[in-house]
Amino acid sequence: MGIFLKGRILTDRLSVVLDNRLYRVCLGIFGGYAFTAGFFAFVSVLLAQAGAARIEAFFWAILTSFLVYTAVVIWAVATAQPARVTGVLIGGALVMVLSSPFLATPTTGL
Amino acid sequence: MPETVASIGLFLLAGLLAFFGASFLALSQDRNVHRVLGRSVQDKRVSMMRTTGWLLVFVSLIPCIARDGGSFAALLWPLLLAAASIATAMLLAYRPQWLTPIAKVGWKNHIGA
Amino acid sequence: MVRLHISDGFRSSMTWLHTWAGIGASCLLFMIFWMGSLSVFDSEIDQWMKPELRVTAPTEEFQYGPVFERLLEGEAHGATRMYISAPGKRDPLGYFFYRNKGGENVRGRFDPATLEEVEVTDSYAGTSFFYPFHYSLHIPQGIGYWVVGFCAMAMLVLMVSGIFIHRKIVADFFTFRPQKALRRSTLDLHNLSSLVALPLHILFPLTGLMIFATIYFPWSYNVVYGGDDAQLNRDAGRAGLEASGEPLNAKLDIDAIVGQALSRWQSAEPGVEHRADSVGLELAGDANAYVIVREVFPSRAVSMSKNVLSVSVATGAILAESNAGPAQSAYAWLSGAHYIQFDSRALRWLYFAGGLLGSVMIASGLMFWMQSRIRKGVIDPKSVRVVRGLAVGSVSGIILASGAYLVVNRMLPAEAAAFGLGRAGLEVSVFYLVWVLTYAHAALRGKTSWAEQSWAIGAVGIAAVFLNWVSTGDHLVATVSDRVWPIAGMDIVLIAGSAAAVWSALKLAQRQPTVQRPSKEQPEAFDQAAARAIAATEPAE
Repeated sequence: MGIFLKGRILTDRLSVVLDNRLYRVCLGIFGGYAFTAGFFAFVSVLLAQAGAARIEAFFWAILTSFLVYTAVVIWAVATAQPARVTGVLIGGALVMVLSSPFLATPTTGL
Repeated sequence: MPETVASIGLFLLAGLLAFFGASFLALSQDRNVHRVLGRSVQDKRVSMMRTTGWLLVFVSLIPCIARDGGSFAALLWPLLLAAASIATAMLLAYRPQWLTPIAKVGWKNHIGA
Repeated sequence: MVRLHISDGFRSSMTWLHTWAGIGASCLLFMIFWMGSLSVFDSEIDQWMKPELRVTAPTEEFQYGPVFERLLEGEAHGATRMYISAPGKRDPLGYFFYRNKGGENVRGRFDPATLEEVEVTDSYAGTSFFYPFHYSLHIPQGIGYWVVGFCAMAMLVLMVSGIFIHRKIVADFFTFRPQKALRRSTLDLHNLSSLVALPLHILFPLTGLMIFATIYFPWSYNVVYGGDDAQLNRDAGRAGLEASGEPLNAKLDIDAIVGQALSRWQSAEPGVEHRADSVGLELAGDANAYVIVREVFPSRAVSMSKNVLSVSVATGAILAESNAGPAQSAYAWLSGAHYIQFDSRALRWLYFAGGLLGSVMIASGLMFWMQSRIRKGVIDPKSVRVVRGLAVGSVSGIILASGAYLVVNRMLPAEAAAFGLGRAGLEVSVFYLVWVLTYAHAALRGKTSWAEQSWAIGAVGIAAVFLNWVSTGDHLVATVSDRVWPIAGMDIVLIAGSAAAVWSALKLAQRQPTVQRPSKEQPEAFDQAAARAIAATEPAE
């Protein structure tokens, strides 16, 4: 019973933080940046794996990343579920950033 | 494009078409007709004014392409439309009476007494 | 007709996002847009500020070979790298750069007709002051790029949130009611200037960010190459070789290599006339020496060119060539649209007007917010002074400082130097001094500072035109009749700008409401009149 109450208090406190506007803005700016950086690396690597020339994949990443960043900022500010957005942005950023170097095709002297 | 008569002429043509397109679209809205003519239109259907306005707006793309090709037209056309819209808004704000001929031409047969 | 069915919760979150992004970024965004608008005519501003550049552009085909020869046999003997940029229509003198034997970088301008170096007025002018101000705010150590990038992202967020907030986009599209209360007409102007050029207001911050993408994501950008920078360079057409240490055993024939590049580009893309914009010689004198030929800004295409070719001097073999696919071509078009180096007078003027329209959008948004806050009494009077000071200095202040920069340029003698600054540094110091003073003036003078600074802008513009005449003899009648359009255009814009500033000053003077002092006998009548006046300023939403 005591533990259950403690858990509730923690999640209540957490949701006060998360619902805060300043938090959302920071999430959008910094979480969004991390997510976009991951996206940039990840999408370029993915397209290269799919057969595109590497310089082409690189330019596709440039063309799309800032649209993604903008959308993510809007999402972070507008969402009714900031916890979920936090998870997606931070988690997604980590996954994409950490996996990209391993997914990059080795130099083939193309 | 080297400044030939043709390039100047096409530019002016595109500009005029864009302007008339914008002003027709503006004058397809009741509040703007009211501002220019002082009275409302009776016919509330989507009017010929609006259709003509859109038509003129899209037709203004053609001299843009003819002048410099599609690549430049992609920049020239939106800029001309912006200029045309500003001009229309400024006329509605400061000199609505100058738009009377356009309003009368567009709305003849539909204006209340 | 078109109504976005969005919930009130979403709209209210977009409203505060728009407000706070605006509060954070609008002063900086105005500066970026103002300097960007000036940068559209940066070469013309150069010609105005550095009269040695007021020569007609060369008509014959420019040959690189003689320039390289002259430099390599002369002052640049033993140089390790050398870059020459051809003169252009808007920039009639060529550029040279080389790194000499001592490792120093030397750069300058040369006359394509005589191949002699031309001593140009020591001034940063448009291309080296206004233009870098636009993309870096002159904040050093690369921090400026990040600040501008942050503002660009803020602008994208502002545009998207603005679309969601605006309730009657179609119905209010042409609405501008200057006769109504100031807050209403300010908001009308903000909406109008935003909507009529909406796709363009999104395009420019977006493409600006794309251009600096490798700065913003420095480690991500070559993940796809697995760190193989050499291959990345080759894919971009740069050979990126290292010195071999052995001497070069072949004759350097620049023009033959340039000819080879041009014929390759012409056969790959026959519809467009190709031109080598710059030619670079790397590892000069070494066996691995190579020449990079670049076409950067084709005059008759929006797209920046992707044509880069590296050719070995010793063997004549092609070491690296750029081959643009669809993504790179799309990027080339988008960045070319931002850089506006193509040859189109109509577009150049429209871009200038568009940049000013964007500046109006930003300034009117800032004004509306300020007026709303002041009206609601949310800010205390001392803070009002600070906020207004910041707003006035950032808007009319930077315009006035730009005009002062032009004026001081025409007044300083060629060898001016003081306080350890050369002539160019002095000009820039005057810009910043005047600008800082406008902030102080605005904080001290309060509401009247708008009109006062507008008057000053009017005066400075006319002074600049007058000083141009006095110092160079190129007055407007002469430049128009001789068709020296860069200078005539500058003077015309200065005069038009002064006229606009004076008109604004008069309008602002009209707007000052005459405050009736409440007489002791009729306090109630005053209260009622005040209440009516306040009610009249409510926006009709």
